Amino acid sequence: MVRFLHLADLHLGMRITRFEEAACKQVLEARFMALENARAKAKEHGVDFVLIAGDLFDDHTVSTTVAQRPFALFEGKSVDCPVYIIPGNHDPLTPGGVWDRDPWHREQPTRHLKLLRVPEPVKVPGLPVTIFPCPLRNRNSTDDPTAWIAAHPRESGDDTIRIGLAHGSLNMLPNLPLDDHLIRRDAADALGLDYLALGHWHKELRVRSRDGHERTAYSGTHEPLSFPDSKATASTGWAPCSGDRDVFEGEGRGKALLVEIEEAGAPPVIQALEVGSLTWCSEVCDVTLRPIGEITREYAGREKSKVTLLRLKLTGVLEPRHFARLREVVDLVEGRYHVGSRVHTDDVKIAPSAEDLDRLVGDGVLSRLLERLRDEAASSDESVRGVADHALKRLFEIVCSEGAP
Amino acid sequence: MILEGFEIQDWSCIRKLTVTGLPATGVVVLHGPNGTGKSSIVEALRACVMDNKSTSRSLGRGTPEAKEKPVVSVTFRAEGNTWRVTKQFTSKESKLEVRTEAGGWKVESTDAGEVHDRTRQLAGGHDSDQGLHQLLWLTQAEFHLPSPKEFDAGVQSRLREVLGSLQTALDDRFISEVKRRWSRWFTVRQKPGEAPKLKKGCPLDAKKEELKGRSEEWEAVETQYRTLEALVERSGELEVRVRDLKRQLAEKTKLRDELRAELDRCQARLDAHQKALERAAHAEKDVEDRKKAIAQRSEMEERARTAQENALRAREDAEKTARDLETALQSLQVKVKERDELNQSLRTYRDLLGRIAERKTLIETKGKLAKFKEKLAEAEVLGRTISGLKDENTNAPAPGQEVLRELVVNRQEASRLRAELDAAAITLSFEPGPDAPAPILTIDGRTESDGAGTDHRVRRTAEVRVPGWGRVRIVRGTDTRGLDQIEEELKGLERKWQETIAPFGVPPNESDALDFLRGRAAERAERVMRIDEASRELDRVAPEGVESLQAEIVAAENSLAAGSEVKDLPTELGPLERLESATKASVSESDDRLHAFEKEVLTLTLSIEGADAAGGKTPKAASVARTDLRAKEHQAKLDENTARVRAEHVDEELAASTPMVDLEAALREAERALQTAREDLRSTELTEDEAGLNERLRAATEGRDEVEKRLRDTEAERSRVEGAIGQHEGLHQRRAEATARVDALREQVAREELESRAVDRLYALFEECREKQLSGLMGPIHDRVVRWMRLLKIGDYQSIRFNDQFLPERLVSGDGARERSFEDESTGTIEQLALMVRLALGSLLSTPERPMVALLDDPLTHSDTVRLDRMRAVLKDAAAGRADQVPPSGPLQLLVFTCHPEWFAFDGATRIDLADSDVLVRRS
Repeated sequence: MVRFLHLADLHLGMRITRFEEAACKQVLEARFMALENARAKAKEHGVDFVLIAGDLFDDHTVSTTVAQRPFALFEGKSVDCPVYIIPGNHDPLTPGGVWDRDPWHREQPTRHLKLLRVPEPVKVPGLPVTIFPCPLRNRNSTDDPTAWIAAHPRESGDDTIRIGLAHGSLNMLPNLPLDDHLIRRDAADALGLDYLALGHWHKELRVRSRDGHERTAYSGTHEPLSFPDSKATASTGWAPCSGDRDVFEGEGRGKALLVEIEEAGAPPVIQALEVGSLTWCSEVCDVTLRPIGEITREYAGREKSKVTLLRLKLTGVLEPRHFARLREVVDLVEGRYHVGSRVHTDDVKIAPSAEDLDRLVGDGVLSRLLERLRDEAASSDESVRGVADHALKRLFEIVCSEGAP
Repeated sequence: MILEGFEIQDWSCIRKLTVTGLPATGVVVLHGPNGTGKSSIVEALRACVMDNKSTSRSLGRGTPEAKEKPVVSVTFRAEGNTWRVTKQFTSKESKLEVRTEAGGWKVESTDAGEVHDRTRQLAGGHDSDQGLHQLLWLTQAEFHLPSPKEFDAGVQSRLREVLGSLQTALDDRFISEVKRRWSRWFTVRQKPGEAPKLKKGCPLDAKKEELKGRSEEWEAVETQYRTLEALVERSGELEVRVRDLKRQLAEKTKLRDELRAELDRCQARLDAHQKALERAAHAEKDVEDRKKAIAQRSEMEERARTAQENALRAREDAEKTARDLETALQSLQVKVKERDELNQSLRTYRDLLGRIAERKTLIETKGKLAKFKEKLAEAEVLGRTISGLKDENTNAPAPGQEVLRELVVNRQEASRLRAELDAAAITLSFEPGPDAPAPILTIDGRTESDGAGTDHRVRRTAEVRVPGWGRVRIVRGTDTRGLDQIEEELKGLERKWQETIAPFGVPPNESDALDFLRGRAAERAERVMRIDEASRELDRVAPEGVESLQAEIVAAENSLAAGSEVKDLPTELGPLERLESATKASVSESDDRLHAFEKEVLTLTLSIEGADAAGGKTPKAASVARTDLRAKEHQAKLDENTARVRAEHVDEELAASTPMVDLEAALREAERALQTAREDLRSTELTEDEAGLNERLRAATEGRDEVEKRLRDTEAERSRVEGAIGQHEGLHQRRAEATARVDALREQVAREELESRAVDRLYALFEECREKQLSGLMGPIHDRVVRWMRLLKIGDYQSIRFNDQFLPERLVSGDGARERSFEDESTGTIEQLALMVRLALGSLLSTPERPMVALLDDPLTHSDTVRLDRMRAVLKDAAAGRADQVPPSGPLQLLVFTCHPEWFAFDGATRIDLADSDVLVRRS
């Protein structure tokens, strides 16, 4: 039986832009911490080897510092098994790229790290395992990176466990870009693989073979790099180089797959392990339905808030006197949660009750002004509406401020 | 308060003024010329009703200069009663009375302070430049409205009571806070619909600037990234190309090596073929050389035949040319002889013509001599006449016109001076008073002992000395000269007269000397005229002078004496001229013939000798080849000689060359050798492959070298590209950082912009709403002023924007698109608008129960007559009030003080003439 850890899409040195500098640093650092977690899990489960299915780095031009850290991390004493890596579409085997620079350009063998630059079968020392690596040389290609394996069918008498290691899109969804390194959906069956370890998509996904066993799997990212349902809430600024699609949305938690295969032809036993450092959450809360105090209490009571990167979007309608209390939620989230957490209050509307209205704006010019602003806030023109909404908030903020009746 | 009447005594220039029975409403025009005291009346009314206690001494122009103390009494209606206040200024004399129902007056107070306070209270409780008076009591020529800060707060408050609330305290605090926030980003409010301009250096502007800089940095990083992408793509292409070139190189190398092996195998056959080729080529060349030598021999023989024929033809030409020359020379000799004979006849005719001319000259000279002698006699008579007249002029000298004019002036001036000298003397007499001391009289230098009561004749000077008083001196003469000076001038004139007439021999004191000299001058002028006439006649008879005439006579006589008598010729002119004519005809005929002969001789000479020999008379001859007979003969001899020498030379060449037989034998030998070489070539003929082997090897070698070079170049480029890619290490992080900075700034700018736009919107909307509210409240005033504006035809304004203080700020054009500041209008328009606003505001606070008086001192001085004409209607309308308006306005009592009564002459106006002494008496 062999046991190995399947990782992919680590995107070290990730390009995120929608955080403040301090938060950026922490988020980037979290990826290394998650990698350490994965290494610890590998040791804990006594894996025979580790597979990294592409995109170890976010780009082939990452800095030397970023390039050196995973090298040092896997080459150190804490690791006692080989680590097989293939270049992905973000860090392809570009001449002069990260793989041609120190320390990755060193001649093999290194102690543990095995950078598989060539598509040719690799025997795992001391184990009945043959790895079929499919390194990428370009960001985009219409070629199936696993196609070459067809030239190496299982020979009679060969009882090694055949594992494919590839990076690309499994051709199982409609409208996939043709140059996204499409891999045939039945690659594991067609190529006689016991397991096809894939990278590229950021969610964990297991695909059954004809024999009904899950022999093809995406491990997902080891650390989130986007918010779940990010389009509706927030963006990190990171963008896949093969076009933004649902498959690149994260699950909010970092994962690795622990795979056990008894022998050639035996079904793989796959177990998802949480190795992420931060939990990324994006949530929407309607303040119309719940008192501010209740919302505050809920978010104050959550566990692991410091390692939760929260994007909270508040919606609904508030009375002017309660509007200032939104600050309590903002302060709580920004104070207790991860430094990159934010509360979005722009969508909270402000509307006084009928009895408050006269008291707040009187019967002078302000009452006319309020009427006009409300008309504009109902405009079909988004920019007019946006300015009017904001102006309404400022109006109530001023009239409710100290000194106003 | 309404004025019923007033009395003013001893105020400024006013001695006494009484105005009574003023109407409660309507326009009252108090008119009088400048200096009447109109402004003084206004000052007195202000002082009495509002500004000064009677004890006050600060009365301005009303401050008394004499003993009289100014007294002002004003009767007015207020609070339902009729009041009379009387103040004797600079004293404590004050009195406030109220009219009783019986028509009498009841004293309310005589205390100066109380009288002042109560009166002031009844008039509104303010000084004359505060409260409603600020609007309605205008000082002289005042036309600007008060500024918002200066406008009386009490009046504003009363207007608010009438019109309603404009802006609440909450509104005030709100807009104040909005403005405070707004000023964080902006400085100047834009027109409605325009985006405000950002304040330079404000946080948003600074962020935008920073964003601009960061965006440029980001763009630079992105450019690097795009460059890198291009390099990566290029690297891929180069990789593919290197593989392809390596494949091509291997193929080309293989082909080249195969061709080399093939070449080695065929080398012996190739060499034999090459040698056969060379031998055949050599034999072909030998045959060609032989053929060429035979052709040269044939050509030489042909040339020898041609030279012999040419020599024979040249000899025949030379003989014919010599014969032609001989014939031409004989013809020329005959023509020359005939020409010489004709020349001799011509000389005889010309000699005869010369003698005829001499005879004609002799006859003409005799005629001329007779004419010269007649002219000489006439010239001598004229000369004598001129000489006689000149002698007469010398003997009776006469002055010229200039001298005559001087003499006439001299006599006139002398007469005038004499007249002055002869003028009647002054008669001086004096009569001293009874106790007066006796005066001392000196007349013309004489002292008279006692001249009282006597007439004294004064010729030149008289001096009267009065002891204890002084002296009186009288000097006769003109205004500038005394008699002595006149006498002196007269003497000078006489002296000059004598000096002038002396040369003409006239006694100086002869009474008719001047007439005598005038006669002399006239006679002399006549003689001068006659001399001129005689001189002109003499010039005509002897233009060169008499001596010239005499010289010509002598010359003619000498010519006659010297002339020889010609024999055999007629002595009369007629036959002589006929002979001359016949001789000239013979000469002409001989000339023509001679000319014809000359031409023939010349033609012959030219044909024989050419132009040079003929004296170069035909210029063309020099530029063309000679065609004359002698030249032809010479040339023919030369040609004959040349042709003969050439024929001999060709014969010698022919003799020296190889004979044709030998040459033909050599050719046959060479052709046999060529035949043999061609057979050898056929026996060593190569196959097609063998023939192209060398060429193919060369092409294959060059092709391989080319591919090898391209491979080296491509590999070098790939190496360079890879090196360049390697230099982009860390670009990803730099790109992420640059993008993060730009993203963060963009978000900040967007937030700040939203904030600024929201606050600006609050500000703009507040202004709009306030404006609407204001226009609603100001409706009654606004509509009334706009109606009056239209009546006056002031611009095409549709509305007026009022500020919070009820004062107009801007005028809005008809289409609403254009606004203009109130103060940007012309002075006249501002004056009219301001007065209309004053009346509209004032009348709003005036009610039938509490009517108000408006006092206008010299208003509308900047208005033209058309506007003034229309302004009367406005004044009338304002005074009448609008009871139907909501809220109602007016009526007003309008007192207009003016020096232009015609400006305010309209029906219904009460006119008071301040020039009427029953109304106003001025201080003298």
